[in-house]
Amino acid sequence: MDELFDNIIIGSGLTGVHAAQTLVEANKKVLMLDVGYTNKKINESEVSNSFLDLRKNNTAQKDFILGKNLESIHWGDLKVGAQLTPSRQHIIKDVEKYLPIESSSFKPYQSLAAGGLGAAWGAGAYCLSSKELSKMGLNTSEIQDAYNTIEQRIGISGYIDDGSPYCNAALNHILPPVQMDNQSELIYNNYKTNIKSLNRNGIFLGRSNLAALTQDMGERKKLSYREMSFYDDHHASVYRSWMTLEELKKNKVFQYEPLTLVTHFKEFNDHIEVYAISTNSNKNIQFKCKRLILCPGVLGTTKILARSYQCFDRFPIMCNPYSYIPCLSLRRIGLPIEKNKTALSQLFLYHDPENTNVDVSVGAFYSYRSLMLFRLIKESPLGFRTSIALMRYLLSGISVLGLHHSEEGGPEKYLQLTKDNSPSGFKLKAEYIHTQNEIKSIAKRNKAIKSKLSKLGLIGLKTITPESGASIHYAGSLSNSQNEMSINENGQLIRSKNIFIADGSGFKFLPAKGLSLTLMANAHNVAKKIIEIDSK
Amino acid sequence: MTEKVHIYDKEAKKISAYLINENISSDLVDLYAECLIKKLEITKITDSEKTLWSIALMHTLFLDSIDNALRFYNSYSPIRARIYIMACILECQPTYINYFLIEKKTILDLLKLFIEFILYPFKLALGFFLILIFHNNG
Ligand SMILES: Cc1cc2nc3c(=O)[nH]c(=O)nc-3n(C[C@H](O)[C@H](O)[C@H](O)COP(=O)(O)OP(=O)(O)OC[C@H]3O[C@@H](n4cnc5c(N)ncnc54)[C@H](O)[C@@H]3O)c2cc1C
Repeated sequence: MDELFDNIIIGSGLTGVHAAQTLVEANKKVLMLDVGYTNKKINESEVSNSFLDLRKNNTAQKDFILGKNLESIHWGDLKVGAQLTPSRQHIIKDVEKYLPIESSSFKPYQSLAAGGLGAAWGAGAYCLSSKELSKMGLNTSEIQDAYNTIEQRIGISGYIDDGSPYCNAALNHILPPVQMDNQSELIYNNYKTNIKSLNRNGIFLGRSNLAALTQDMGERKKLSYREMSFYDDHHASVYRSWMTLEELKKNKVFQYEPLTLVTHFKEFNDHIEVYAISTNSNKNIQFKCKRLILCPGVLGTTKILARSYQCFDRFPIMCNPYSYIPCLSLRRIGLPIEKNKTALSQLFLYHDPENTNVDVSVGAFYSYRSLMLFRLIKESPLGFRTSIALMRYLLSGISVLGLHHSEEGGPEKYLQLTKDNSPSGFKLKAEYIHTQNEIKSIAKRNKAIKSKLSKLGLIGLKTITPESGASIHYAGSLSNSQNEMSINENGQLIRSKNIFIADGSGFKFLPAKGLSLTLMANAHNVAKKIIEIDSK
Repeated sequence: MTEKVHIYDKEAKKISAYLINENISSDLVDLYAECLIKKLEITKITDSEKTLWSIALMHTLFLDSIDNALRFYNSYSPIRARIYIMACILECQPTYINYFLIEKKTILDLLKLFIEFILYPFKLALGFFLILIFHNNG
């Protein structure tokens, strides 16, 4: 293509679409390059009024739940994407082919979908504390302002309680919280009863802060408690990045070029050439722009930059240590199934023993039901018949606590470009090895949290720690400010004039709290800086 | 029904009888056969488990015992994969929803569970015994 574009954005994930929205609102021309796989059905898949209704009445539910090609049936070691339902499998489509990673210790999620990983995210929206933001190298007041801009764009529901300092204190337009189901209510009430002892041990519990509507917002409708959030995007109640993308497409100054896999770029004095492969025809394509904004996710950014500058050095990488604890509430076992509830997390737990709001571990409680028994019975030590009978009985008392810990990186946590014979000709080699001290401290943290679950009326059954990468939060590959492969406070790549990075690659610290709200806020700020630079 | 599906007919019915005490329709047998083929890489019975598999299909008690023991002996065995696939299929059938979700709390449920647990050690022992004799370690 010979046309010279003002701004090219790579990627339509949460960062790409919010950088684009800010630019488009300022009437800046944007071309977005994206692979952009979709599952059209996800928007219209009103298969059923509710998950229970589907289970009771829909005779064709097998395809929906197990997948036409049994995508949900996993046997043996869990692969990346194992917990995604069939309708969300498109988010990891062709990743092994186009974004290969060689590693024995790091199994990250990457996406080539329209909306990226944000097409499947759990909508947990956390504002970070000033201390966390400054440790990440971000401007606190700018990000806090940006939180409010993003909040108004996407709609966030939450509650002012003990969790507020950890997730929503900076928000001004918070919607009423998502309704709790009986299990969550029980946990929340137990917390209130044992609050003193739990707080003394650094444990705080709050209702969740979610990018899910509890009031209608334009064409998006409030959550209808169908328990199908893992399966479809009914009424667009739960925010996903494709919604912003669809809005952007209506704008004249915005152009979207899907099925375009960017491989590298070359910067010239007055323009940048961007090289890509069409995933449709496998042909090479080329674009020209004045400014390039990278939002293909941290691993994607690292690969494109390393290849463009032929840099085969190690890049640092951070990913939260992650474990999950299946929990059982004895008081709720054997109870009949509850109707109208949400599958989203309704409670967030914070472990902040030093009361610093920096070194906080964060847990989200999920009720298990809509992921079905078949995933659970595989993990049980019993034969399948007994497992089904038992799990059926325990189901109403089961929740899963997903626990993230903060991360600062280290010498054995890195990405490195190497040549291979994948379509782009290169792959990333990665290692992610914790030191013995880190392993001990994570185990200690997990143990401290698990031991206090009884005060919430729960028995923590087992702590399961999947391979590094499973937390789905990545940051920091361009965070070494000594290096010219790092970015300045405007999000600009230090060694370049017109390359900007608007994803999490520049963050110097990875807090345990879900990163996405901060990613969107940062992308908005990078775009604002670009507008400022233009106006000078 | 093809001959192949006929072969699956017996095992599909045996497995469903084991899992939920129900005799399934031929549609579900077809579905089971289709799923096994789609997941051939995990469901193909190995030479070492062929005899054990035939024993398992002789009686639901044997199937039950072998499943329990394989959980410890070879959790990802193709025999267990086949049972697992049937469990997945059954869970997605509205007709059988009550085997997977509780709609009303009853004492009978608890009693059944209690009996399952009482019988568990015996089944486990029988399962290990059958594995010892019929699993061919080459
Ligand atoms: C199941 C799940 C649950 C989650 N839950 C939460 C949560 O509750 N809270 C939270 O904060 N976070 C959560 N996350 C994480 C969150 O989704 C990610 O942090 C966020 O989406 C990252 O956005 P991104 O824009 O940086 O990158 P991505 O989402 O990875 O987007 C990358 C985009 O770039 C495009 N792209 C990539 N490479 C190329 C290339 N070479 N050429 C062209 N285009 C390219 C892709 O098509 C995609 O559109 C969850 C994620 C998942 C999968």
